[in-house]
Amino acid sequence: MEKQQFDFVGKDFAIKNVGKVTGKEVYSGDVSIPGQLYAVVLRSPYAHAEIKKVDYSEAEKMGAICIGPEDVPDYLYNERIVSIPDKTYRDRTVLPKDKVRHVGEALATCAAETEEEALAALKKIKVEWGRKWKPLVTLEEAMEDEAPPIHDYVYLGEEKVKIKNNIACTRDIEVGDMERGFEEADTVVERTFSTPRIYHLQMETKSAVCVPEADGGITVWVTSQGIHNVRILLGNIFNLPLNKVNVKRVTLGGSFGSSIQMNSITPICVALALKAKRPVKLVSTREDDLYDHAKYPLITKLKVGAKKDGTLTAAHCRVWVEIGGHNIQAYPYLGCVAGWFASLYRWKNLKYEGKAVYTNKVPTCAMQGYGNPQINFAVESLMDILAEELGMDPIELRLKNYVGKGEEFWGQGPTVRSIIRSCGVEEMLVEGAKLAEWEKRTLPLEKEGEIRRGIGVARGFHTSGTGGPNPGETIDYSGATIKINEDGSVDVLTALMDHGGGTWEAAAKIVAEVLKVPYEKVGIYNVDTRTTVFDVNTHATRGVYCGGGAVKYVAEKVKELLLNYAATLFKDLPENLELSCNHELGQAVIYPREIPENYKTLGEIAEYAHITSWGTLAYTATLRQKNCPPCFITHFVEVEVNTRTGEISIPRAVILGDSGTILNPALWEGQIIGAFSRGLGFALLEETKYDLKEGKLECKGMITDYKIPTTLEMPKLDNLLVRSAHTYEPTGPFGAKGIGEAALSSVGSAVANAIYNAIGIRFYELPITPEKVLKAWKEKEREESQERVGDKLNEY
Amino acid sequence: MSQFRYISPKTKEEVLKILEEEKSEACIVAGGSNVLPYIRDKIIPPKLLLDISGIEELNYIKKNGSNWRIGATTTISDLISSKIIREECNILCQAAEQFADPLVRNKATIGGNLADASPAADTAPPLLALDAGLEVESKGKKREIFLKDFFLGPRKTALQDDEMITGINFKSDSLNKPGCFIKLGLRQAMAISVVTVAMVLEIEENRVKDIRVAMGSVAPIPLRLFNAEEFLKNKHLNDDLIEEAKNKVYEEVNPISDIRASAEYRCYISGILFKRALEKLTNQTS
Ligand SMILES: Cc1cc2nc3c(=O)[nH]c(=O)nc-3n(C[C@H](O)[C@H](O)[C@H](O)COP(=O)(O)OP(=O)(O)OC[C@H]3O[C@@H](n4cnc5c(N)ncnc54)[C@H](O)[C@@H]3O)c2cc1C
Repeated sequence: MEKQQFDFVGKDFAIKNVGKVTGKEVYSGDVSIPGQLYAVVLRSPYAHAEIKKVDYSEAEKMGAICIGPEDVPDYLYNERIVSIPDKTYRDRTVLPKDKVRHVGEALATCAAETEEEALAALKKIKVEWGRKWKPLVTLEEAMEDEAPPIHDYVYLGEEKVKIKNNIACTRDIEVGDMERGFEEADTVVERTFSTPRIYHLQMETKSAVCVPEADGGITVWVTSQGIHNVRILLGNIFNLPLNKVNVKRVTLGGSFGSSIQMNSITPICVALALKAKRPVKLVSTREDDLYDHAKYPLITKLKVGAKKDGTLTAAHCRVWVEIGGHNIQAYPYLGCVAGWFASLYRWKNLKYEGKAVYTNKVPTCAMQGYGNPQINFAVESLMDILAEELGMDPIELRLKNYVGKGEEFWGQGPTVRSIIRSCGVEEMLVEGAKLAEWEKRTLPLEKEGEIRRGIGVARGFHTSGTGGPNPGETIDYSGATIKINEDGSVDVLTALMDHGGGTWEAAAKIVAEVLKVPYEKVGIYNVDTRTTVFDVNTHATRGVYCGGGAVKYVAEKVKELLLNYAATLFKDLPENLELSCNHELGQAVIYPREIPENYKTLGEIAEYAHITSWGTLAYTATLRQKNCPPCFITHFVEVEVNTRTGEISIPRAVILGDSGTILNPALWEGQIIGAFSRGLGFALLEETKYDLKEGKLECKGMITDYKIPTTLEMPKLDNLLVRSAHTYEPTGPFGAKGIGEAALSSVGSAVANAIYNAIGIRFYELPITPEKVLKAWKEKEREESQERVGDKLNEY
Repeated sequence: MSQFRYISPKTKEEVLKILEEEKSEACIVAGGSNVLPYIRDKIIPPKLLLDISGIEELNYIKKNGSNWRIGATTTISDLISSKIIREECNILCQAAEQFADPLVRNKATIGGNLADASPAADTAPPLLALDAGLEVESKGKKREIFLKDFFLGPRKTALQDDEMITGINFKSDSLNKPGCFIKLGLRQAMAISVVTVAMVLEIEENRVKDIRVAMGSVAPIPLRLFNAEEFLKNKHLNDDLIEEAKNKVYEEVNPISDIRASAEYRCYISGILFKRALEKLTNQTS
């Protein structure tokens, strides 16, 4: 491990979006353009119904500008274009042409001078419905032979694909010889697990503002995790040259992955603006948003074989995901689930079969982990089950089999892999066990009383970005322009998004560290696609590692320019010059090595370059990272289960993270704690339930009945320990990897394992609600009393 | 959103006059924490919104000897910050402290909570257990309705179109006994109750001298459990008796299944919370 002294990296400073704290920040819904119209959207009350005709003539008579299915381009697209075109399924238009495929799907829209007028006009839109089908709500129903097809044909790249049994796509992978692997096993365990659909509940609902420009182009302000993909998609859909679409980066009010794809309302807003020839603003309500996106659920049938000593020999993993009415890239999702699965343990021989199935529900997309928490729940639960069968300590079994340094990690499915170069797994399991007092753990049978306490462990990870030695199926590169101003301050122009996790602060620190410029003097702003080079997206926990990596690369180029230019002023060679930060002056300074008193400040040098018309010290480039290092996480969670009511509380947790060098310590901890809170929701509380008859959300789109944990569900601060592993990622900017999605991956599994330890009941389905606990507890009591009766009978 | 008219009178008399004129066209708004979600959910059609939150004369907590009076627009936060409520009517304080979160508590009123007549209204069980009455007024007319007779069904009350609740009253003889309120929700704050129980209990020489129990979210209305009360009166408390009383509870409750819990779970939990309240109070008295 390399030990480095840093000026800025690893220190906490003020956040860059000061407006977030003062209330001055502008989110997409705050953008207002003179002369703008307000748009509202008509959404389907039916889950699966044929649209015969949308008649908006009455609404138009009221002065509204309207768009219906016939007005939108025929172009089929997928709103998520992170994968290469050949691996991208395309099944949707801006508004559905023939039929609606889930309740809440947008089917028409209108814009007027005020929101009130727009709503009044919306009421006048008449929809003539044709056939209505019974909604396909469950996976099983959807795959039946008689089930009505939700899509007949879709496109995979340029190839037309027929959809059979509503199966959107499949993915099968084999490594080694699974059959032989199971033959070598002494013990085989097999279970089925399932995780629910949950809603992102990001604070900001999706919004868009579009201005049609005089030159035929458009300017758009959107809620997005990647503005360049929005630009490319809008260009493709509306047949505009890609330089005529300018997408503005606006601060995000959280996203949790729900804006990796272009939001469904964005092209609707653009279509209206193009028709109206006026600016249009469209802000989603919370109800609109709840009917717009959800996290992928997962059913996993997992079979694992091991030798007596705990060495794994084979695994068979079958997964099913019901994806809702549109395919927002279930294909890479299935690939990623395979990747997380394959990279958790050394299975040696594995077979993976994945199926994604259309249903008449809200389309699903990535959310904090892209399949990782889902498959982790299955694997980490089964590891505990296996440990018990083998009579081994769960930690020992994990230490024996985890995939670590020198081994291969699948960062984004089977096609994006790289070798692990930094790994804190062992340190975290061993140190975590000490902090959590693992050795004091008792068995379920040894516990008594109304309230039972248990402890569980689980480990997980996420990739840091989707780079690899080979590009594979995923597009991954970032870029920046960095320029030094005439007073020595620095501007970083990058499309790299910050969801609130500190990506901006990390990028600014990296630039400060390279150029030795005080952190406050590095500016990073909301820019747009026209003034920045491509950045794929802030997803896949790639912000620091990939985005930060690119920023570092560009900063180093600027440094090279700077030293070359400074050398002419010092009449020396660049390699004889030293660049450092003079904290007293609050400036970067350059001096001939060994003669610090002869320094010139960066401000002086830049000013001189300016007045002598030498030019601007600036550089622009993009960079693709060639690795996808895993950031690891380990959760030790204690639970208290009330056996009378089934209620579960979390008195204590120890969480350890491995992110290599940590750029933003306070924000890093914030990510871990925030993910823990939301992970508790995933484990214990959250689910978007559907009414099976009509395919509507039971919560009706209202968050009164979509609950996520509050701060009161968290352990008290003193009982929430967060620690970092001591690692350094050689391929990362200043040794850094990611954290965001890793932090959530094993929360659900650790909670489920803790519940087992508390009451001896294994739950295979999340969320583990008080009702489910109570029911299982009653069954167990019944069985045990029957067993006791049985034992007595046997005695006679 | 639809069009609404909005009036914000300054006196009770003004409100009563408007109610007389507009009758069911007027919708009283106190804190608005029910009304606004209803508008959003299109449960309330376009109406005249009559905002009573600014009427000072309806915001009070008074104690005169053993007679208590609480004004209709007293907020849940007002209950929590009232010293006499905390010290002498703690059961209401307990309910207020488990109500929503601080932001909602600042807006939500006790009158609105009762008038809304949700089976889950958190101030209803303690007030039922306190044998509270409602002061109800219309233009030129005053009457009193016992809280136990006030709730007719979910969102249905004994109020006439031109009437409003002006205050709540109860006697503190029942307060000499300790009381408790227990709430089970899906999370620790901002949760509509899955089941609640409020209980006051007086024990004399190991016998139940007096007991009053009410529960929330276990029936179409907040429920007084008269049968369970009668069953326990004058009996020696012991484990077997409590188990038997639990069966009385199961007979009296009649919950529904909804997104938050199934009827079976609610029914089962009602017995558990009943027992827990009883144990808690007997531990306190002994
Ligand atoms: C986020 C959230 C959390 C909540 N949590 C809880 C909770 O934990 N526990 C709980 O019990 N409730 C809860 N509620 C419901 C609501 O806050 C309470 O019922 C509250 O007490 C209502 O009071 P209000 O003053 O806001 O009533 P409003 O919304 O103003 O009115 C409610 C109803 O009562 C009528 N009304 C109001 N005042 C009078 C009056 N003086 N005379 C006649 N009719 C009147 C109105 O016309 C309306 O029909 C919650 C609501 C929200 C939005």
